[in-house]
Amino acid sequence: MVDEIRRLSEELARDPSSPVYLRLGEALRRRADLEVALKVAERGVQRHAHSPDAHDLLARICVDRGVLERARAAWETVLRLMPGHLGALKGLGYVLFKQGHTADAERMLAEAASRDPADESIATALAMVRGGGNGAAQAMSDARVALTSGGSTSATTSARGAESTAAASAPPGDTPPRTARASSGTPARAIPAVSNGAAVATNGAHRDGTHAPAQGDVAATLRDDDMDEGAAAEMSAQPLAAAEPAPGDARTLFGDIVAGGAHAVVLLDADGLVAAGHYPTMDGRDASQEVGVELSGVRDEAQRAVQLLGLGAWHFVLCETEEAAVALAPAAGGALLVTLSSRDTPLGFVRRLLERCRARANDWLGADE
Amino acid sequence: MRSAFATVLEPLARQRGVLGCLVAGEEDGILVDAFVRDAVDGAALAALAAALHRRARLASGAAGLGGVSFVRLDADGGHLCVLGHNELVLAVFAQSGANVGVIRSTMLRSLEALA
Repeated sequence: MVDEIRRLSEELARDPSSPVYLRLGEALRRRADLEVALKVAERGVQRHAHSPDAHDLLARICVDRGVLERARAAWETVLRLMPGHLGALKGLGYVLFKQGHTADAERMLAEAASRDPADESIATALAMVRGGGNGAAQAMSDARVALTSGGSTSATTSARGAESTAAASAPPGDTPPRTARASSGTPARAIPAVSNGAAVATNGAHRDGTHAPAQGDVAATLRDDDMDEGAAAEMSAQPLAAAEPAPGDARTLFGDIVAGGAHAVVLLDADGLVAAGHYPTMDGRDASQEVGVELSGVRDEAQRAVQLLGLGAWHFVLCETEEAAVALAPAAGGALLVTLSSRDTPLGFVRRLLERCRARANDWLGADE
Repeated sequence: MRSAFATVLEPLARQRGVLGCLVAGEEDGILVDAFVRDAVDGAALAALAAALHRRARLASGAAGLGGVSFVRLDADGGHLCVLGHNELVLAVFAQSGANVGVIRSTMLRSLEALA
């Protein structure tokens, strides 16, 4: 096990964008080295924000650490990225039950059971939830491993169930093509591709000017906080034109407003679906939907805050993150506007950008109705 | 009795337009210390500010944008500014027209005191 972890760690050190972090994180989790596993998983989520497997790994580690709220958020993300993800349904079933949301837990487990009727671990857990009583909580605790870790230590887990749950934590090479594609190739840092220069300035060289270690242990890998200069140069040289939508495409709605700047704009409709704008990642993919959905949760919290504090209508929320300045604002018809700008953009400019984009969005939505 | 956070909160409370400022636990939203005007419900403000910061932090992490250093909510009735550090949040509630730039700078200078 130690040799395996060392080998995986060295592999990750050589190529920080490699999906090998999934196997490394899982190996560390199984070894109960949860703090390091958590760091590996968090790094994985940062680099592969659109990979359900990355969030699934993070969730399982959080459950092992007893941090149920974060595990729940991670599995909810998995389901947004890949509806029907069996591991997430099972995991959420466990977490929701532990949090006292029995009806929601039952709903999750029932959906999981419908997707894999042969998995006895799900059927057993579902029976426990429906049965209730004092014994249910203990029984669910006993079933935790089967539901959340892919292991087969539960006495109620059949061989088929063990195979099923093991598949949820299979090595990256065994993951479905969709995930493999999302996790492979050039790092897909969630920075607007239009901000190529800014992204390199922010994330390119190591803070201490060193390169990634050719060999090293897990800790050394984790200290390698950023990509090396070669990778940064490669990213800056990447052609991005392929990701640019054609004129007239709804994705270009804000094109003239953000032209030449390090910004991306996404307009989500009332159902949370991308209506206009786009968010190109470094590898040329459009991550509008994934990023927009994640950030739209902030809207709910903002609405709750203004309602309970009696502040009237909310105008915008501005979040300064490690990677970007993110602004959200309500738009016509229950839509949500999200702008992402490079971290060094002046905040006053971010707000002006948001207002201009909101005016454009409202005009467009009005014309669209 | 002055709390350990009095030195953090007093400079903020003195800012023009500030109706309340507080320190709360990010995870549970429980108030740790506060300077609030009579009309402001400190406990509710603490819970909502902590929830807003927690949601922003989780969403930012899930979206691959890293940690959150500062969150500002702007509404008809005022501004709510929140920053987090060491499982605590520092929140300022200010009326419309307050100088948010000054408030933000003062909050960021107070960050280390939340250790």
